[in-house]
Amino acid sequence: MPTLIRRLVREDWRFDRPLFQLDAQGFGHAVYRVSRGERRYSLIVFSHELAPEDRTDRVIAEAWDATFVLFDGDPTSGDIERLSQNAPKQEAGRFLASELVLSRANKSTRFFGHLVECLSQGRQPDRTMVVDVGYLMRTTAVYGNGKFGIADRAKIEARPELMGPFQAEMLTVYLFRCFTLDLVEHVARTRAPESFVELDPELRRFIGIGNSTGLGMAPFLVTHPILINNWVTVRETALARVRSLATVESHRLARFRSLLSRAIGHVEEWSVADERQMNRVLVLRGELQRLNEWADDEARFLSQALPWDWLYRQCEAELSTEAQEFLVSLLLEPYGDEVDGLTDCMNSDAVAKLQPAMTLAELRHLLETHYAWALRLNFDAPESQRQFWYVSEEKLEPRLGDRYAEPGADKEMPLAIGRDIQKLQAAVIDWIDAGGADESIAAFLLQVPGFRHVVRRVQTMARHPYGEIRDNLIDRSCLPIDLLRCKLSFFGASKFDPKSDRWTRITMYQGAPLPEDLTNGDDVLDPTDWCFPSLSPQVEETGGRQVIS
Amino acid sequence: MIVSLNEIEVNLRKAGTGAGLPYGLAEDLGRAAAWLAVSGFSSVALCVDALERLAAATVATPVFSKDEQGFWSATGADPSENQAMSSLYAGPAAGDLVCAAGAGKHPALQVDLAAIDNPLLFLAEVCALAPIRPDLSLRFICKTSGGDSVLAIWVGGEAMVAADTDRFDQACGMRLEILPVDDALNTQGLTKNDSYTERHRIAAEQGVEVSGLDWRRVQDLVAETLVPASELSRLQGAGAGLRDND
Repeated sequence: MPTLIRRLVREDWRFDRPLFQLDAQGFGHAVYRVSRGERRYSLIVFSHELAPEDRTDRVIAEAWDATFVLFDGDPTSGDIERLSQNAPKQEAGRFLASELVLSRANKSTRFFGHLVECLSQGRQPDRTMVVDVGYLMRTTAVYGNGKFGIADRAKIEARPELMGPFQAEMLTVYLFRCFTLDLVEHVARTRAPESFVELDPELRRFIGIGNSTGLGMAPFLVTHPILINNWVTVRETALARVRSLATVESHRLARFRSLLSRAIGHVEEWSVADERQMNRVLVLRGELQRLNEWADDEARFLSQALPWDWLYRQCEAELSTEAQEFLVSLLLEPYGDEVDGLTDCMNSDAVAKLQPAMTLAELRHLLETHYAWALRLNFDAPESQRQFWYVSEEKLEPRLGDRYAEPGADKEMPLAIGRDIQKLQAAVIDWIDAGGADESIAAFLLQVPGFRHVVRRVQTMARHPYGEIRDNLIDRSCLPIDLLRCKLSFFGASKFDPKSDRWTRITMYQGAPLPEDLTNGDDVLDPTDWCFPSLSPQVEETGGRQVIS
Repeated sequence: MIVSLNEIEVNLRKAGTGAGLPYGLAEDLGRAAAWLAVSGFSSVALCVDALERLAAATVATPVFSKDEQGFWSATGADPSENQAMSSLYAGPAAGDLVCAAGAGKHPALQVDLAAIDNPLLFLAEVCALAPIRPDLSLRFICKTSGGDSVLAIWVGGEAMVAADTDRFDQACGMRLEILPVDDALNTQGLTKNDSYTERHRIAAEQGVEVSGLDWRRVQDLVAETLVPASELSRLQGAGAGLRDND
């Protein structure tokens, strides 16, 4: 998300709303367009009436409050008509290569209703409720890359304006956020045009887009290891650059402190029902104060040979993982000019390739060097294999089952990397013990083709050290929620709000500039400076945002 | 109907698993299917035919052996059955042998397959999957009772295929060999299309037309990978029991 916002600002994209045909209840359709030079993208949104009993964020849902498509260019009325027949069906619809992204969303009904009521009565919403919910609608799936007939990613991957992973998807969600804000004002205005007031710009900017994410995202992490490696490599490289700095300029330190102050307010506003996560947040609140004290002791901080590295090590030694991850984000923000270029390396169109000429002795070396973590796993205990990942025939929903209590383990998805590695290692050793150390992988796989996928993986991941989730994903103790959070954090998601061990809500674009901030030229505040938003009064008047000098 | 390249790759991979292919070979089938689609062949029909043969056990898995000169040959696992070998197994295996041979200083290879079920699918499995050196040239020769004919040449990182591919849609013997580049370039009767990159760009821009009937056959195989729904499994799904009208 931050990458897209910086791009929107840097490249002076233009926004307009060529179509907005909604009835008094807010049902109908609208088109939001973004243009840069000759290139145009249009978000086509269909807003529907939805019975409460049909409102579910699960994959198995069959109707939503809104369905939408990112269209490549300007749609004709025929395109809109065609999409009005297909977008509401989502997975059951069919699409063309003129469509780039398909998605849907449900309302936060209590917040939406509250805003309509307040604005129609001429008052602003309760700020506590704005903070507590933070969005008007939640997306529940965002499909790209050829799903249901939409365009292959190959169609857009070379376009400079969408360069990088998930940029079309992020643009879609950004435009949809604009729609949700316009929608709520439209319904409130129509209800009581005389008393209606517009939403306060500060609150408008604070309201983001929610997202509900379930198990489907976890297999993605396992099946796209090169991409995940690249993401983590970029993050680690950026962090290493900052930690290795021997000198900290005063404006960078001031920026860090300002961000930390804002982040403290942000975390104060982060409350979730999940006890485990809330306990972490409570600990984090205290730890950010300690971080603040360390950074405030300027003499001590600047006397260190590598000040940021010292701060990081302090945090690593004394604070929770939650605080350590928070610090990483805080450290990178003041050094955007040093690390932004790295985001170009996050993309990957590489595919795993087999190296058939490699010998078994070489493969064994790779296994022992790069997969020692997997070879240490103990699969003898039944609990180590209790869970299995599968796809249900019910709307192809990914699920996690109990191998010893449910049918279907024979159709298990191949996500047990550690178990596959151990089986491969045993077979390789057998061959080597039989004198086959110099045999090629090609010869090996002629005999045992069942190992093809795992051999290819080992050979590929030896060059991508951050690509594997170094854990047993079928162990009873495996918590898929941690996998989901990892991926969502790379999008720039915030307000992680787990609803179970396999389902979470998050907030996207909270605090992000609106199109009017980008194109009308907010000449006081930097529109790219919006992370860790807070409505907290303790944060300085600018909301802690960076003032452009 | 129009489908995307990614749909072809993903659905054929899943269908491969549904038909009983090991996962790694199913991955290869997905890529081969996309290669065939980009190359203008009836990708989905070719692949689903092969999968149905595999599922029905009317094809054999290959058994490879190497002679004293280093030449490879393959026959069906049970020669008495007299079945053609599945290209879904034979293609990736032959591609591996090409790559392994190509890693040497003086690459040389000849692989003779007694009979494979579909030469075009075999070609795709080799060309789409193997990290073949672009300076290496390969010749695919179909061997029938009517004589030998060149199906395709791989040269300069591109495949040049015989113009009349319809006649290669039947089981036949296959010889795959590494050959000097000059010999490859002088082969007659082959069609040089636009570059694969250009054809891929067009397919990504426009999608790929496939028969609805063939696509349903693919979905039937994909369905073999799905676990039937039950009340228990519904309750195990992410988000189960949560209230979303908040």
